[in-house]
Amino acid sequence: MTDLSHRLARLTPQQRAALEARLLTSPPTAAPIPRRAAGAEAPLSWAQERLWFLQRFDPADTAYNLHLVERLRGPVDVALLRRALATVVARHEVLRTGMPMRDGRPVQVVEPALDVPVTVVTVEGATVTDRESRARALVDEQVNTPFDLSRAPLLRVTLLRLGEDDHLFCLVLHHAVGDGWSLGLIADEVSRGYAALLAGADPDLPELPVQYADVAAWQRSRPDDAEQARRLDRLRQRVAAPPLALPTDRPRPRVRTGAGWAATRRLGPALSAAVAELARAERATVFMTLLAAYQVLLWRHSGQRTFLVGAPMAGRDRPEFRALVGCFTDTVLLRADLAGDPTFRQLLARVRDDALQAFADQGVPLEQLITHVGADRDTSRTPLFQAMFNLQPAKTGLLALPGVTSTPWEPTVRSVKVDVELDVNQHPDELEVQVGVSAALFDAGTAQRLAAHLATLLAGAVADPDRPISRLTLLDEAERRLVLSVGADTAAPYPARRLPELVAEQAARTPDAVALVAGGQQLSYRELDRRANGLAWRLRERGVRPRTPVAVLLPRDAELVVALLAVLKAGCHYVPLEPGHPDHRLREIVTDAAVTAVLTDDPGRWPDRLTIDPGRGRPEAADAPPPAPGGPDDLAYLIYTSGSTGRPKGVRVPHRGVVNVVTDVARTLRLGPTDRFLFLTSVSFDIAALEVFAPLLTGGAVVVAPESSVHAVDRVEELVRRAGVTTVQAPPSVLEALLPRLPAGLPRVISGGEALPAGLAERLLDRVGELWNFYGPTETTIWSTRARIVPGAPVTIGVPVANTTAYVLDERWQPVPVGCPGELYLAGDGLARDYHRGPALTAERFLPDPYGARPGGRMYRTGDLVRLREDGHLEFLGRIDDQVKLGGVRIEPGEVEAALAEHPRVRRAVVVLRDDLPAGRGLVAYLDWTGDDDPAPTLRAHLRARLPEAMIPSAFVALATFPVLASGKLDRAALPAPTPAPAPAEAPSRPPRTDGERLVAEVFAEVLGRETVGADDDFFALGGTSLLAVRVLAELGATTELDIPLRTLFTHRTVSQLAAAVEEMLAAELAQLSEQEASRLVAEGG
Amino acid sequence: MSETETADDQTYKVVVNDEEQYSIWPADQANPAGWHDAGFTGPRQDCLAHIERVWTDMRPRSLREAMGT
Repeated sequence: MTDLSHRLARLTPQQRAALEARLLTSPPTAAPIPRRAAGAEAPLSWAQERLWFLQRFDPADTAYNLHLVERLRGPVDVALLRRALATVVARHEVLRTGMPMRDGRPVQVVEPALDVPVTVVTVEGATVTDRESRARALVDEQVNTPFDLSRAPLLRVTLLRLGEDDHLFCLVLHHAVGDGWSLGLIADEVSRGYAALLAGADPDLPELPVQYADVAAWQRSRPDDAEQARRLDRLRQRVAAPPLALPTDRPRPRVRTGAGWAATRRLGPALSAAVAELARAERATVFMTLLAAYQVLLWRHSGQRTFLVGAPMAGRDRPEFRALVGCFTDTVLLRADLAGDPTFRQLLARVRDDALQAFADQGVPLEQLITHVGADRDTSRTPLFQAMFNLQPAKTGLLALPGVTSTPWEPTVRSVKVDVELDVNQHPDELEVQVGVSAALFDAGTAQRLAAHLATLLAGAVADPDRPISRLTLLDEAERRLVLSVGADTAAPYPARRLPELVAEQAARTPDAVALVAGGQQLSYRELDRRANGLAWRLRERGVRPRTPVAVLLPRDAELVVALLAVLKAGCHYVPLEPGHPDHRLREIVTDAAVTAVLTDDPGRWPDRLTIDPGRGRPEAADAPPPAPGGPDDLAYLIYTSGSTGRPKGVRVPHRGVVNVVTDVARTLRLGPTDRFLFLTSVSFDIAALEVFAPLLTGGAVVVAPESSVHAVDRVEELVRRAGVTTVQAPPSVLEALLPRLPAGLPRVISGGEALPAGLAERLLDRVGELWNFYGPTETTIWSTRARIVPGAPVTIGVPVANTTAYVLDERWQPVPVGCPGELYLAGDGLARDYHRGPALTAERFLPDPYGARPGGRMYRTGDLVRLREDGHLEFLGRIDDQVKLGGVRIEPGEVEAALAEHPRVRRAVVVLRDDLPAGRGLVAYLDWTGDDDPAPTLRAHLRARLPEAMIPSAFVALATFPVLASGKLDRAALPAPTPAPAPAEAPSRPPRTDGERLVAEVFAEVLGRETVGADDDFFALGGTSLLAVRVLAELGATTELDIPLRTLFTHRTVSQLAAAVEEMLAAELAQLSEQEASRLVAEGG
Repeated sequence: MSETETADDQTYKVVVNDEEQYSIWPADQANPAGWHDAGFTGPRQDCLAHIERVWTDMRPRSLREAMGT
């Protein structure tokens, strides 16, 4: 007792309060639980009701199968084992209980006597290995086969015989009739019975004071007292947290499944001891310490600082429960609070206080809480919590049969209860972590990485508990090296010369080959080179010095290409201007760049500048350019991009980067003398340089489109055909418009500049030889990553181009794990020199590269959100600034767009988050929609069958045309705000019209206790719960003689939707009837 | 504030490489190889303002030397 008083004295005030609360709420002199009349049916306990509903919702789910699998070495008497088991089944009513429906509600029905067979299987196999793997397959099958909860028994027992004295005992029990504790009880009672029988005695076990069904009836008849109401209120606050949204490897299905996989990892004695030591020092438990680390892990993967973790608790707080087989476990909800970047030690204190409070508030069954807060409508995730944590002693052999050695045997479990589960097994000298993840959402590798991250994180936390949790390392050395070396192997040679020198070399090799096609005009390499030399001399003669910026403002013609080349030959860098741009923007750029000359066909517009009109004056041509100093690190161009502030910023790019990417693209795409590259992009964008220089450096030809991007759509077909274009580069929005006009069999299309929708990619692949997806900011020169898109594979932005490395980093410039979103940083030879006249901006975006091999190297911060896939490819997720979070859930608008695009009437869909909706923030879908009707009802229903509720846009806007920028890219800022629809909520719902609607409406009204229900009324909006949903379908099933899956009501929530679904099912069933059956039915009905 | 932190209340230092290109780095972290302290520490914006003042010739040092000025 001194030990207890000592421990009590050490309690913190919070702990003491929790203890007192505990003592007050469970008075030691509780009234006894009454017994039912023998054989009487009983309601389900709260926990059973939850499990029953889950099984009903997904009959294939095996996540709640419990197992006791042990290897028995020694002589086993099968007959005695059967008798011993029969004794236990006879003793515990719950092992003879099934849960059929009565009047739309499940009830417990106890079979008076029931034989639970022990199936004996002799495992055949030539070798030991054969037999072992056969045994494993058999056990896995037993463990992963679902139960039908309506029929007893809800356990099955198999004895696998591997040899004379070598057996595997395999007992599988549904959680609705037992729990972990129950498995121990069953093993113990079977063992005692077996031993008694072996000794020639009868099994002698004390009488049970109550049965599980008595407990359930008692639990369900207890009135909600004031204390319970207070608890519910506290719990309501506790559970007010957004769902945990870990970045998934695959889109989240509309309806979750229980399939899963797991990874196991031992922490080793040293780390395990250190965890226990830290727990002791902080007056916490190992449970709390592991939970704290788990919370950090989930935060670092999800970015969420508030979420719930469910932890199962034994729930056997009354002495009479201890000897009962049955489902007593309850779930304690632990609330993560990682705000303010605490140290691990501080976090541990928070976790301790939270856990004590949570334990004190225990006593409200989870099912009751879920019903109370109405959390069970989202079929895509589990209600209230999506992560679980369990700490348990490592299994030991539980069966104690005389002369037999029992050891636990771990089957392969292929299910999970939630998105992610952490089970920690306490072995005598070390901890073993097992991470299970949903197989629908995650790759098996993700479970392994999560387990590895937890181990690394724990090691860091116990080594330095005063380190802020943001500083704890997640990645071990191997994974860190892996994620930091994306592109590190891309070293490839490229000529260390300037662009004009390389064009001149090509001209020397193939002087008579066609270099340029524009309008009716063709220029050979010799002509192009000589004309550019001549114009370069003219620049020099007019006093334009090398290494100065020269503006180029010319119509899309041969002269434009000559001018760009001439500026470079003069040793200058060009500032390309789009004639179509507004005057003030052109002047702003010319002034900011401080150009020394403007090459233009309209000199009169620039009275205050030195102008040169390449088309006028003496015919110029020269064999050689004027001498110009410099090398690859001199500038090639100064290009202005629209900054987020609206003011254009000038990016200065040296020859090196351009030559590098052109060389890479030429090699990767196998560009050669027979290729003709369409110069389609406005010259004011850097990617136009690829359209000009990729052909000119490889002996091919530039085909100049007379208008740029979307404006050229009508003429592209003719151009491509007539000039024999082989390669077209454009952003997806332009490609969408071009697609119907692209001649089938066009060898190559490069998409870039914005995310390539999967649907468009598929349609392009049907038409063109090769499809490439390119990614890259102007600041890292044209393109920095590329992917060849192939049918059936996901669209990614691929891998870095040559001599380029990609890092995916967090806010602290630390690498994020594979699969997790992070900001993309790029390093290597493609980096621009700087922002023109922008020292601070340059310093802010071009940061020291802490991971590169080159001392003093820089990395560019792209502002783009990406993630690294397991296959080493990068996936583009959007702009960091556009990150969409709604109600705490991270949403990928691209996923919503993809789901919308699956509707046959949607030609194009764009989804954005707007702040200016009547209800505040929300998703808006913009659509190219065939037809004049309102797309909202159709698409809402379409999406409901595909996406989680949080991802369904609050407004749908049909657009005749999408606003575009000069580049042809979508102009997101110009998308109109949706006009508020006339409030339909107040309007009375239309009455049911068809027979089906009338039937469904009647059932809704009856179950919900309402007078009338309209055809468009939503079952859940009217107060429906999951259990009431079961009743609705039971009633409907009885009337229509259909077995309607429970999930139907979750995906078809209104009267009219459900009626349509039921009618469809009826029609499908009738279609399968034979002629005779059908006529018999008609005869009967008549 | 939202779930993800956007405020940057770290202390930074101004750093410079051998090409005399400037940038910033967290003050409590060691400089990446080839980068040296430029003698200024403070909030992000102050560091950037400092760079705006001192980085007047943005040509990399090797280029400046090649140009002979």
